[in-house]
Amino acid sequence: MVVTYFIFVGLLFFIGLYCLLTSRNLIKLLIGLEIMAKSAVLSFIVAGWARGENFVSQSVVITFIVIEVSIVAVALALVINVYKNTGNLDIRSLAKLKG
Amino acid sequence: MLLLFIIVPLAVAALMPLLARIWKGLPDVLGMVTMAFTLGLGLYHIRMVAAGHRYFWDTGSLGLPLKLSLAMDGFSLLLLLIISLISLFACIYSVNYMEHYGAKGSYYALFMLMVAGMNGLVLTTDLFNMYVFLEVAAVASYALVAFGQKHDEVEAAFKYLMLSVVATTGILLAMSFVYLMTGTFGITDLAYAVKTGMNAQLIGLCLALFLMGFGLKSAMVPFHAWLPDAHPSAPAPISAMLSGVLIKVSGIYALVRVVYNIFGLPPQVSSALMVLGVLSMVIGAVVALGQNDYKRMLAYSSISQIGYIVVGLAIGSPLGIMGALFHLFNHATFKSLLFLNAGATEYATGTRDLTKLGGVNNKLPVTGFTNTIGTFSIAGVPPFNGFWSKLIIIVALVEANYIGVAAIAVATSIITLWYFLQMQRQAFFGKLAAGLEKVREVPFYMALATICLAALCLLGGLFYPWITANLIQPGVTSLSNAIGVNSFINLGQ
Amino acid sequence: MDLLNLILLLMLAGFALMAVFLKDLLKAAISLAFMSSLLAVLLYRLDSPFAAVFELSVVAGLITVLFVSVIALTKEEETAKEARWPAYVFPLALVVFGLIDIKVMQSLFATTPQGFGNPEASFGATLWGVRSLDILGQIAVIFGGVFGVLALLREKPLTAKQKEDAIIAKDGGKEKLW
Repeated sequence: MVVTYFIFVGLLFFIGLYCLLTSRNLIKLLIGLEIMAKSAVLSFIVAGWARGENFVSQSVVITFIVIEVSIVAVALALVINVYKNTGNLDIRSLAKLKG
Repeated sequence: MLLLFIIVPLAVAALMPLLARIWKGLPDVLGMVTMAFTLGLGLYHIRMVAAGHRYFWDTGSLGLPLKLSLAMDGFSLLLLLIISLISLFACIYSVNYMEHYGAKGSYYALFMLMVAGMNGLVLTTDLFNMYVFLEVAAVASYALVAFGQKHDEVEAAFKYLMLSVVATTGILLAMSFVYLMTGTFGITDLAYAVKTGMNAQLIGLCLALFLMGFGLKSAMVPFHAWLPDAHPSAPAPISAMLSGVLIKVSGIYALVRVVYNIFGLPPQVSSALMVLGVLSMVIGAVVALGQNDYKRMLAYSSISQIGYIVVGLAIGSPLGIMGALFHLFNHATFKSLLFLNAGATEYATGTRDLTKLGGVNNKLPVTGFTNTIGTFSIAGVPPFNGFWSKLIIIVALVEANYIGVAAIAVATSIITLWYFLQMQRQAFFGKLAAGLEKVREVPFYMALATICLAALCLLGGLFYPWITANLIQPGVTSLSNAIGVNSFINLGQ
Repeated sequence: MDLLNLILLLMLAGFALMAVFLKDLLKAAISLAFMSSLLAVLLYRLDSPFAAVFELSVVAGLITVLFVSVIALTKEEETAKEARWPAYVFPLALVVFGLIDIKVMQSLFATTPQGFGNPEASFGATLWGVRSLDILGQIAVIFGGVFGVLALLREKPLTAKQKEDAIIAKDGGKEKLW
């Protein structure tokens, strides 16, 4: 059943978002982000599979994975910069700017 | 050759780090030439998209195995012109301003990538491809915000990245749902397929995700937390690009394409946009009142002005769309002018804290003068361009029976005038503040960029009939048609 | 519903939870890699071998390498203690969200349309022939990542004061470099 897959898509999205909202460690935040990205990958593939048209969905996922790598690389470079500036990876040391 | 809009900046970006080694001045020249080229290309296309026609371009006719199909209508062209125009002046400004940051090659490479991404986003005809180019521009902008590598900049960039990725993941999920139900990503195909293939609840969920995602990208009020950090922390030309162009392209443009061209602006979305717009307008302006940091104040004012644009788009009548698009254009000019001026003030005096500034008008005559023009434009003082677009939006609101919103828009405009005059008084007029005796006017290229933008603000106000007729009207026609064609989606009551 | 796929999905969620709640960052990163590998298996079973390969090699491989090297570079054990409450609140939140999730998804995806099969002859033709602009976007985004990392990891530009200090140090100020 397609529904089961989408329930898990929702669950993974939720777990990632929860991690993003509650963690204090910057790398943990990125891990949460990755989990959310996986829910998107699963969602596309299930969509293609359910329709029986799996070529376009796979191309889309491959593009998305490339984008994901670029984002993670830039994000990790930012994390290294934060570490150079503050000496730790605590989100609470990033409280100089307030919304 | 619509592909040139994407390929040229991309190629220049790819070669930039190599070319930067040949001669130190080459990145500056290349940046300006590239932007002037895309601007010329955009101007060349004005006649082709007149009266709201769409101009297609496809490699299919060339007999290649690749399928690169791009399309341009009045709305895309308007955005393309804004992108090239503001990036051209930002490049001119960067010649002097980015000197002390170092690594100009990388800077211009990222800048060009951001432009390539935005141009691609504006020209593509495919929903997923829109996301791809949106990310191209976004990845470049994360790095550009943190370009100075100081604490504030890195922190702002990190927050910006986190929130953006949440937004885009939501957008992606919505896209996958749409794909599951319709089996296509093409925007024109989707407009037909959505009506037959999707049930009302799923359309509602997808619209909510799209609204949240693009709303975050364009910093509408409940989703605005990243903007007042990211825009002030970036180097000034990048602030100008982000506030002037990027939030409009990856937020407003993408949102309008999805909501208008695919879903045909259902009434529920229209009222949601109206609420978001009013919230942004009011809260942005009220918070801007209390800011001491010049650039931060400008960032909040961006949120407020985005509110005007969203309100205009939410009405959905041709007049409302015209006001919104005209305000989009005007906001790009005067907000980038003001951000460049904030950068110039910081460059000359070393601070952008309004309490430490004072009376620099005599020391910085050019910056002071152009800043006054920017202030009058953004506050909607006639005959500057901001006046006309706000007037059109307010008239459209009254015409559509949103009298209360029209009153709020007028009140917000007065608050805007107030905080900008306060800023002028604190920073530029009055007695010279201590420690600023040795301040000198900014270098030539920075002054040139601000003068050009100020001239644009004034000319845009004086020749507004020409601009609305030739640049805005085609976009209005094409968006009105999009609503007209797609509007029979029924979301249920 | 294939039973093996269900088990894979459950394990996927389990590894996701491990990645979120394990204290040790290295272990969390490795859980994430396991999650990617399992997702790759699942994608393969859902008739998507090409995407599975990418998921396995790029996400499970490359991104894990990136994570591990940054974790090693930042030597993170002693700082940034996680708060306790998220782990305690989580089960409740999960149950609430899970119930809503099941209800919503069942109402939305009770029936899904069947497509007409792939119109193109091969996957390669689809990727290069139909999604060509995505490839262009991929090139651009890779450039963006590369230049972004280069720009962010370059030598920090010296402030005016640091420059002065450097000059004083070099020109035989009070402290001599050598």
